[in-house]
Amino acid sequence: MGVSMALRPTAVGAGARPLAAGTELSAYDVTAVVIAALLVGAGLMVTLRLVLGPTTLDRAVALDALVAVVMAGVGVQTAVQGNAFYLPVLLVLSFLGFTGSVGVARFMALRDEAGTGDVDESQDTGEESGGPGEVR
Amino acid sequence: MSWTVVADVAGACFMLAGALLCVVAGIGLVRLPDVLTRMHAATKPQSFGLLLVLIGSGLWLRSAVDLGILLLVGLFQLTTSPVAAHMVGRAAYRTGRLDREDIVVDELDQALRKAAAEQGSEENRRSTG
Repeated sequence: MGVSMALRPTAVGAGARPLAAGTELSAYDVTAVVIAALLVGAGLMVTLRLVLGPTTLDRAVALDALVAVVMAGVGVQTAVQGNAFYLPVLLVLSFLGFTGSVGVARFMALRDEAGTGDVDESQDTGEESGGPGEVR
Repeated sequence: MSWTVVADVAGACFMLAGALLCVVAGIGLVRLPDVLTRMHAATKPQSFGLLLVLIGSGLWLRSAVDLGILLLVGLFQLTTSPVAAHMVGRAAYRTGRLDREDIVVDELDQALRKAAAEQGSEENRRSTG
């Protein structure tokens, strides 16, 4: 808290904290709660796909979406608190949030090119699966 | 009504819209059938929803340093999420994780066939000649 205030000397005024703006307090409070509830619901649904997802790629996609939802949550929390303490977290997540799914996708592509075909144990549908085409 | 109140209300609306996009992505991820369609749903909050939340957050924070960080976050997100989407989509296509009946036109398939034919003819020429 003190660190963030020292970092942002210009934003300590009343404008930086809409929650403390007197008469509008309840409206902003309700808005923040609604946004948080929506984000939690979205996170739960994305987590459901992360758990259910039949293939690894489904889980990678869901993980990306979960990172996006968490980033939105951090952004909303930062705005509600008027406290820039977590903004670097947002920066790092936007920087590195994609590495997981890229790694998974690359791993699956390597497995595919190595000729093992489907990594997952479900049915194989594509006739191009495991094809030797090296087209980028 | 001062401009700060306007900015607060607009920021709340932006953040609400971003959260709604996240919910839409969650519904889409749960309901849609295969990887590519789920990617279609999942990339909504990654780019547009997050940008809306960042705009709303910036409208509530209103300080130069924070706005700079938020701008950087938006830029990095717009730079990195297409890379991930490209890799995941490519891996999904290559491993056959798509519904062939639902595809109207498959241009990548035509391109792959053409390239494979060219490569094959080249290899034949090299081996025979």
